[in-house]
Amino acid sequence: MKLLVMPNSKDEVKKTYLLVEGYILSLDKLSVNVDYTMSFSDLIDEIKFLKEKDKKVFVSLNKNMHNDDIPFLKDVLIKLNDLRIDGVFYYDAAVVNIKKEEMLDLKLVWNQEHMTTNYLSSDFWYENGAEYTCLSYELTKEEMEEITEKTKSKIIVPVFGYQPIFTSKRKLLSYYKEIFNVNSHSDDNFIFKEQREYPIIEKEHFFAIFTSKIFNGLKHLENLNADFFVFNSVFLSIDEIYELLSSINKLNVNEASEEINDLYNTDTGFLYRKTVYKVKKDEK
Amino acid sequence: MKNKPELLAPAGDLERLKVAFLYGADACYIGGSLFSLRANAINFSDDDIKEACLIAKSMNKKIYVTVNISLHSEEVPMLKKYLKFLKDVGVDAIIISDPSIIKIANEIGLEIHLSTQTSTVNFESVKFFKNQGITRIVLAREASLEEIKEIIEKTGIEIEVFIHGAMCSSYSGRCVLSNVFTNRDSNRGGCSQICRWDFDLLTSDKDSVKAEKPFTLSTKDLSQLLYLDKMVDANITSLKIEGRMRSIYYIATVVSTYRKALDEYIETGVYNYNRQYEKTLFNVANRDSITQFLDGNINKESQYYNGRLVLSNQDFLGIVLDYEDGYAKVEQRNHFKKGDVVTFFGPDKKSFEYEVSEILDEDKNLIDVVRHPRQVVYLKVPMELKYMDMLRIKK
Repeated sequence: MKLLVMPNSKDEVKKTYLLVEGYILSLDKLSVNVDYTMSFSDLIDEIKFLKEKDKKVFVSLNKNMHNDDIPFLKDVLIKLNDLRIDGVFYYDAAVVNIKKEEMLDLKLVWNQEHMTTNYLSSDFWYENGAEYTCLSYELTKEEMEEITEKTKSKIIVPVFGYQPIFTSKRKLLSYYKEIFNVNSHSDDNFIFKEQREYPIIEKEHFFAIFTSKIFNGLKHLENLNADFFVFNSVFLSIDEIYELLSSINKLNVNEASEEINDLYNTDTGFLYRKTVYKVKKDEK
Repeated sequence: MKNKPELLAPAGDLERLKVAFLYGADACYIGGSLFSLRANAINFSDDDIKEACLIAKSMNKKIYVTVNISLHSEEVPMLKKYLKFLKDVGVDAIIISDPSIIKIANEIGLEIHLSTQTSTVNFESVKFFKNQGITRIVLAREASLEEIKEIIEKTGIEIEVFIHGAMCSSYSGRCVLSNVFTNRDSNRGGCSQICRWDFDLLTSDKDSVKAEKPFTLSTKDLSQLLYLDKMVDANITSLKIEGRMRSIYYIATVVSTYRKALDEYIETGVYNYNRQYEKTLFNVANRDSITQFLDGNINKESQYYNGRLVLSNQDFLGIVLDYEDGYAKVEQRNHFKKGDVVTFFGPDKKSFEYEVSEILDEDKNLIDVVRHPRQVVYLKVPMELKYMDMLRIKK
């Protein structure tokens, strides 16, 4: 199983790079739904370090871009193109347009989070220059298999970690604290409903909510014909991540998955849980 | 004379469509039985869509059909047949968010508008979709006026912007709280509005944060009446009202208010912000509304902190079905009685106040109170009224 890790720190990368295929790095100002982003100069250093170690390097630029973001985005894409990274995860079509207009060789990963849900759209982005599709976490295993089978695109799939379920431009936590004079300086908070805690992150340009449980699709998606599997480190410590990755490396995936389920609060997300959208009258 | 933007209204069914057109909408957007983001609204059957197109053509108006869900693979095979049907019945455009639809719609020759679900808010993204054959972009509600102007200037494509109604607290399309909490797929029309719920806020140590009110994601509604002149001046093609599940009264009131405000500004070139219009919009809503992101200054005032504050609006009393010999045939929508002072209003008349003096039931017996939903009664009204005129309680 080729794991791409979304790291929480440089130290995590240093400690875990021997255990994984590569990383998805995030950049200040242009990445959302992550706790750890780095400056562009740090990102370049990290890319160089990982390339020296013969690791895959992807960069996630998954923000909804506003006009003001475009000049910086263009600079970043041109420089990433020169650095020969393995791909850029994007949400916003601006990334695709800049790639076309600047005639960049950059590989792209269509990563529109909750909207990468069918093979035809995956083909659309493939034909427009995105080599990979990163599938939605909200799909069933069966749906993932069908897309993987029918699309021309290469597939990346989330396999482990807390998953983002809400992204806003509004600084909802700050607004609340300001209105009610809440003097908590803690950045790490949870919202709590129906006996479950949902971790949240607020940064300068986004507010995000994550699943209450760690999605563990390791043993369920092991045989999916995907090129890479995404391991999201968010909210886990370096030691925890090291142990988790070591376990996946040492044991077979089934054993590792069971061991992880014993130690953490996990679930299988929507792999066996089909969502509905037409509600019967008596259910409204 | 100023550039005249299209006033685009929602319609959840044929009755609301007729009301929207009569009260001043230039175009309506509707959802069919398939692929529409309001899966649990009444929506339009295929026959309804045909009729809607005929009504629109007869009134020189336009119909846009939302095909704006994120498709799952199982839905793909049904798509082409449905799009061909929409082309055959003569819809003016479809509104999409899933790019898989672009190629098929282009082959069929359907005009395509890009839904706000994609949260498009920059000119590069707009250029990309323009090159795909999309003719209009519905911008994200996070766009500021300066951003809108820059996009129009740099792309030259038709731009549609929301001016009134409810808002997602997230970027549209980037919320699956509904999927997680209730198993209803928000990007396929099943949104159960979890953002309106209250939550407890916990610290990193999982202690409860003490505050006067619970934490909420709930946002106030949108109203751009204040900036309507600036939006016209920005050369926005279409000004859109949200709310396919709203009542005919809401649609009539909101559409006619914006119609008047727009026409006055376009005709005179002077925009005198009308407090009465503001009051009318406020009275018909069940939530507060503000200008949100348009001035680029979003802040704590954009949110609700009072829990799920949704007030039932009972101002709307009835709709006129007919008028003959000094009597208006009225279908009741809220309780009213003899002696109440009501306001009659309609698409092409100045509203007027009137004290209810005589009420007859369907058998022409005198009654004092109209208490039953959809009860048909006759009101003695000296001023002539027309089909689809309405009455509300005077405030």
